[in-house]
Amino acid sequence: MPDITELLWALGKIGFMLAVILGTLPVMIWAERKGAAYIQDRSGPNRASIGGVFRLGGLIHPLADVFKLVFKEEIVPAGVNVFFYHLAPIIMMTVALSTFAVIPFGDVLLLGTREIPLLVANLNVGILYILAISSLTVYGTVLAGWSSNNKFAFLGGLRASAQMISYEINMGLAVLALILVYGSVRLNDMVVAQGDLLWGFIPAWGVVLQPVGFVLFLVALFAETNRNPFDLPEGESELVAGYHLEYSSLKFALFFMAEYCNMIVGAAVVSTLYFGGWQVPWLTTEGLRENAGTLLTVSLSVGTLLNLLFATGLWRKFQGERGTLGDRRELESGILAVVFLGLALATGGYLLVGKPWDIGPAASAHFATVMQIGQFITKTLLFSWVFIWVRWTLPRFRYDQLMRLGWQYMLPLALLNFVVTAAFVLFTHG
Amino acid sequence: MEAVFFYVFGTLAVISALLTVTRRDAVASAFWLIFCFLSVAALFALLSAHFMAILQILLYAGAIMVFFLFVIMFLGKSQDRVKTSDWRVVALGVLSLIGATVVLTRLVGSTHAPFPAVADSYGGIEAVSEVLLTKYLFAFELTGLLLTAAVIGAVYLARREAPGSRGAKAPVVRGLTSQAATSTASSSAVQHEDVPHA
Repeated sequence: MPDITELLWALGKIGFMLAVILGTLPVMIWAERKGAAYIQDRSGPNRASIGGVFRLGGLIHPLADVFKLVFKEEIVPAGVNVFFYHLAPIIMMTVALSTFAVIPFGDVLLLGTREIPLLVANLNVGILYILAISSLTVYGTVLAGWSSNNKFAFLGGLRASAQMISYEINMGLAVLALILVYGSVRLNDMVVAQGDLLWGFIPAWGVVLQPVGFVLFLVALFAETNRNPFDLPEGESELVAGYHLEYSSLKFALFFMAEYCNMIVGAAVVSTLYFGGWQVPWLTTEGLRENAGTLLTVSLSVGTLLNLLFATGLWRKFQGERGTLGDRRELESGILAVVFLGLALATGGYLLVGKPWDIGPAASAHFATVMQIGQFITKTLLFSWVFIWVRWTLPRFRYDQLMRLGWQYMLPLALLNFVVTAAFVLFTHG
Repeated sequence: MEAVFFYVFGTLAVISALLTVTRRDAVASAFWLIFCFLSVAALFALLSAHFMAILQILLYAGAIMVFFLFVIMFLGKSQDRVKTSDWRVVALGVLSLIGATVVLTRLVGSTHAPFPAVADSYGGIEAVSEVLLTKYLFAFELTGLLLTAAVIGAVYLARREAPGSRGAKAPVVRGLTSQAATSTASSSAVQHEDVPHA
């Protein structure tokens, strides 16, 4: 029976993880719409505003989306299987959120004498848990497609089941090769191992040790998350909207959110397995703690400079826009310029007054933890952007192309990668 | 605490198993079977057999049942009615129920001695692999051979008769390509925002 503080810490970590995913969600939706717009040489969403002043480059739109989805009429078509029809979106969201439990987002947090590992559940099956839980995603799509009593939705579910099973094998084989390299299935062990340096200067990240495995994993991940170029289960041009065709209002919103949750979790898994997770390149946890003073000073100076830069840029935009729009929207950049100036003053003031270069050992440990969590979140956001980037760059695969790629090209390559890795590990470590 | 979880998941497993055999629709049956597998996986986890629990989800719930569903949905609704009024089926069911009851009561009755405590790593992936690759190596290799034979058989059966065949490796591919080709043929319509690849 764990004591109550441990339970509270576990709840805190779960809350933090949920906050990261659900907080990133609206940003991802904004990034998708805005990124698509810029890739297509449009302006993208920029109309919704708060008080007619703040538009924040379209960031208000996700908020408006939420209101729209909540207040839309909820329609349950005739002839659906009521139980499974309502269960499907719940499965999608639950599966998407529970994958996060085993992903480490930092090294241990030091609080006095306590050491708190920064991951929700340190299971001894590690990465297999992610594979197992994410393999259940398919039931959300299949259930939705089957219970909707619609042939297009049904075809979408059918496609999803065939696609998922085909690419899961490749994903599993890529991960197996990685397990051979690191000799552990625990994600935290893998991340710790990625803190080493190869020949003294290259970080021993998974992508360096397993480049083929990385490509296979990434492609399989796109197929598993049903993102373009593998979004055949919901191919609009063929199946109207695929498996979630008959869903409206908040139930559609759940599918929509689950897609982005899967993306964020997938990005977190890729960065954990192949890009060092919470490891700051060239800096171990000890290194971070020892050099915390210098690093804090440098990052504060850079932060001050960047804030000043933003403030001047926005102020010049404010000057230029004055009198062109003719309403309160003109005020936005001016107010934001003042906000950034305030931030610059705060960081600069701390730099001068707070003596950040000689912080104590406890504060250095916390600084190291914050840096690592920041590193993890940055990598995750970067890979989430890769998902969006690929979606608006590549056309959708045809179904037979999808199957041929999975079974005839990727599977033999994955097997070869696995055998070569096994032989290499045997001869170097054996 | 563990007892509570045991009864919750045990009840879920029994209920979903009952629903599996009583549902008329084969797809619903398959879904209840998945619930049953998941509950059993939870029971494995309670017995500190974490690796078994994960394999149960990964292989049975995640892979095998997806194939089941795929086949059921692909064959359509006409063939999914099972005749249950046959007296031989009922008799077989009653007989196996009696047999299972006898065996289980004997098993439960024979374990009065307290179990020895197990190590923390018990049931983890390292412990299971260690036993598999030392004590049960021969059986493990034999199973591998059996699976290889099954894979070769599957590839042989799914092979196309025509010479110069392509895509014959995956049994899934054959069934879907013709149907997918017809549905993609009419896909010249441009998705509402997908302008760049039109």
